[in-house]
Amino acid sequence: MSLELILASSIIFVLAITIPILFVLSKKLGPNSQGNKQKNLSYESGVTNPIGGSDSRFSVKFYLVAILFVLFDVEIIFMFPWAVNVRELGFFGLAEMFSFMILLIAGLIYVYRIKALKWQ
Amino acid sequence: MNEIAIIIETVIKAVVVLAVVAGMAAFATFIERKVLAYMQRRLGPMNVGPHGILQLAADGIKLFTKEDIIPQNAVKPIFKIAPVIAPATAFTAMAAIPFFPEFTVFGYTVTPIISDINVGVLFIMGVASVGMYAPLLAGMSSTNKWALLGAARTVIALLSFEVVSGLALLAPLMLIGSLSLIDINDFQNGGFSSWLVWQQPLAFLLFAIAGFAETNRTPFDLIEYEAEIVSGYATDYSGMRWGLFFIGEYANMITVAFLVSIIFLGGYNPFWIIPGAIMILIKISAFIFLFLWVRAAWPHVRPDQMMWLCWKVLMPLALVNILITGIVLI
Amino acid sequence: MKKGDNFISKVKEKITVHNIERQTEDQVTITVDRNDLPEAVRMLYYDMGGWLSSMIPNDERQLNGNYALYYVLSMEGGKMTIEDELPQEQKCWITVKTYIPANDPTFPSVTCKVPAAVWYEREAYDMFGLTAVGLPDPRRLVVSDDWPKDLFPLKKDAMDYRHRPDPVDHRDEPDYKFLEPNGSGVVDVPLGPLHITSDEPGHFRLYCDGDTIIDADFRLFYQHRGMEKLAENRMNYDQMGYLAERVCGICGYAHAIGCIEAAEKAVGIEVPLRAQAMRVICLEIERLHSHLLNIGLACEVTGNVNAFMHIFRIREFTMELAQLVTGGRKTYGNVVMGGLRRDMSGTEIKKSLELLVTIEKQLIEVWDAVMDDKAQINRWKGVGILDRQVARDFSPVGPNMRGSGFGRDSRHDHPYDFFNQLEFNIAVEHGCDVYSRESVRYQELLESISIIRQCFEMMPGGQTIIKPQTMIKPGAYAIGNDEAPRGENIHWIMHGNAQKVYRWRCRAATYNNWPSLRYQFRGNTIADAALIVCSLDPCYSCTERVTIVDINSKKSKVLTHKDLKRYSQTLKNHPLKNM
Repeated sequence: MSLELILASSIIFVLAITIPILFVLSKKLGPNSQGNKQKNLSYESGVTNPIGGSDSRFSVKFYLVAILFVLFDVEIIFMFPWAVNVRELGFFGLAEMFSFMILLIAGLIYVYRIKALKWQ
Repeated sequence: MNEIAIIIETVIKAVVVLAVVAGMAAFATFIERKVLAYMQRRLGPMNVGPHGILQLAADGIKLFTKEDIIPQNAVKPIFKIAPVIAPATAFTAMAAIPFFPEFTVFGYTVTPIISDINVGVLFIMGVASVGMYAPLLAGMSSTNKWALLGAARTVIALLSFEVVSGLALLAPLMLIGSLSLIDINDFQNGGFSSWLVWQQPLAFLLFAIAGFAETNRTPFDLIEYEAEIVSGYATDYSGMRWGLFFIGEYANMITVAFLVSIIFLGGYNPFWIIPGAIMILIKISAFIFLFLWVRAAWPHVRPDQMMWLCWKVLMPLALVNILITGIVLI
Repeated sequence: MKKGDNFISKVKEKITVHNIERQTEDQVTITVDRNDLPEAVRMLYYDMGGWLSSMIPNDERQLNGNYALYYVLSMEGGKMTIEDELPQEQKCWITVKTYIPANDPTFPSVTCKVPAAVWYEREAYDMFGLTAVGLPDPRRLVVSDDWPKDLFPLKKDAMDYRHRPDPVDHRDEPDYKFLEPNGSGVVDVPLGPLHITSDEPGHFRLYCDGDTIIDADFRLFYQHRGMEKLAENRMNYDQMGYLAERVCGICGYAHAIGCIEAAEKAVGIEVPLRAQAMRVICLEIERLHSHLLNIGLACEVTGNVNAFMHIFRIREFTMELAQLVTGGRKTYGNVVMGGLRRDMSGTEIKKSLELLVTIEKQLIEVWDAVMDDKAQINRWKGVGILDRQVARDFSPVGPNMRGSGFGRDSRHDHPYDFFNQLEFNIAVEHGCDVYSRESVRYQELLESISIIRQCFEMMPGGQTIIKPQTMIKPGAYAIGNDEAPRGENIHWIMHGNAQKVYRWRCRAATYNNWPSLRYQFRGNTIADAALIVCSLDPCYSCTERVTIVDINSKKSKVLTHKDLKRYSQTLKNHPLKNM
């Protein structure tokens, strides 16, 4: 690991000291929980008996978007080194990346066609 | 010996950045309330201190002394750790940002960047994406329908726009040929006309819009918009833990403002007779004002409208922008 | 041939009508057999273009040994098409009355044939123990879940105040049974009563797939105040108007007018013209501030807080207008039987007219700015569709209805007070969505301004109050109707002896709008749930008739308008400092 990255994480060390101090102070200054059962219930818009847990499954639409994100984002990561060196790579590099991007766009069009992006 | 000096210097810088940015974030909340109030023909906070300036201190004290409520059904370890992720990632992202031009104090040259990483842009984007875990974990660990909805919306809001912001940045990076923010800044030192926004207006727009979405500011704040899903992922949080989310969000706003200023608006290069340090402050203030202005002027968008905007408008535009830039370059 | 006779003769062809009574020129009551009730109501509703405006169960055991039900139908044409509307001179109220013997308190449910009756029949059981046989949804509606099984509060012999029902421990309260759709992966999301945009006593259960609502159910009446019982027991006619006003915090004046005019009609009092004009003005002022509130909220729920603030700034002018007309920032405390308590001076009228110009100008300005925003329109369009057939079945009222292309307006269909002398249009939009409803509200604002202006210009001279010299006849009853901001309010009063009300039934506009809400939710996203509720302009307290508790501080001081304004601008010399 290079020195720069170690230095960059110095801010985490500072935070690792500050945030616990804040928590301890906050706990000392603020009121503490009296173990009030009603108060510690999770918020259900004012209904006092919870109406089912949140472990219920969520619609597949959200997962679909997450998977799409993974696909496209990985491809974008490939493009970063290319973008920096695009001048050196010249016409050949450009043509190569364009063919890659055409695949990307084709994927987007496919996703669009199968209505994976339709939201209702 | 020299390395120890560097480390000490870095730690001092880290503390300063943390203190200053946290202060700025707090001040931004005050400014936000004031700006919104004036846009709505109100006065905003007026009672605490002159023109309500001490309101932010009052708010801070209030947040600080609130009871820390942890719902009994929540997954406690995750519930407790999630808020820490927000400011941690937001501040870590700042490590690679050059805030000001170099200056000399008592013969000692200071570079106001914690660490000049040669892949700065990538580092910031990577760390910022980790920040997404904060709302996601917070929402999923608190046993609450609204929080769960907020977490689910995180996926569509933050993840989708991550793709757009990445694509939008590619085009300017092709012109510059470096991922270091200092190089990017130096690329634009030819005065007003060398600002990248003139060469890459579309990329600027796309990145700004994605910036709004990723810092979840109105009109894209769907992961915590009160009128729809109470407070989204933060519904069950109170006191300090909620405050950490809050600081994280405003720190992210400042990061985005710096990024936009450095990449597109000429960074900290001096302009006319105004020195660079003042210049970048003006730019980020203007951009934060833009955040507030948009909040006042725009209604909130619905998730399906946002998805439509992201995947069907912005993403194809970003791809086209890269193609055009590539063709022009070669 | 009097009004309504043609309908009654058509009903007579199929059903034996025992008795025809005429209360006023346009209010007729027919009595039918218990078993003919559903068919009679259905014929009037669907075949002859009626709408179910109210249903009044009544305990008449002291009068004739029976319970009675009154189904009030507003005959105005089905309005599904333009030709469907009745000519103006045929529009009337027809009340279908039936007796239910005290020893067998059941009746055949009308709901199976006319869905609009569903809430009324549920309430009839809660309040009187009258069971609708065949009612598809016999859950309790009005009283709380732990209310004793055999206690029916509106029966004349119920509720001995010395014996209060025992409170049930919170944990032992029975749960309300929500109508749940079947299927796995359905998430039930609770909305309200403590929700940030739905912070009123109503609980909505949204059944969602992802964030699409597939069905919804709701529980209201968390705060039943028992006003109707209160009116029967302790109020005299001078107090009735003030009690009716307390039904609602926003559109209370419309309730006062409805209540007082029902009482006036039952004994046949004619109010002086000047009082009529001023009543219309107050009603329209109420519409101004209520519609502004609702448009503002519809903006706020979609995140357009700026529009909300600016609309509320305009709303402040309407409060000033109310101050000029009635002397208070709201229009309350002014209506009594026989007229109004306060008259207006000429200078006040002049000032009001000037204020109207300001309101109109700024209103158009702000609305144009809101409509200039495509994002705002996109949030409103296509959301919360109230299907036209659903609307026909459930008789909603007000802008909710007019947004779906039905021109139902009590001011036009059953003109009261001054309205037959005024010119105005009924705003109708055909989009059936939130946008149409808000657009209807905006057009009505402009209409209201024009109506107020006409009233001021045609303001008749003379008294604003007469001394009612009529003997009140026990057993006489009548309907009072008016168009509140949220739609038609129906009050029904039966006079008792000793200057007391025998039965007062207050049907607030929102009561008719709730049952169809479920259909409006379906297919929308959770993001729009609060917006849909808001676009209904729901008035929880109206529907529930909740008591408003007035907490007075121990010390008080009279502040002038100037003082307050100065203080809010300079923040110097706190007005309560030297107390």
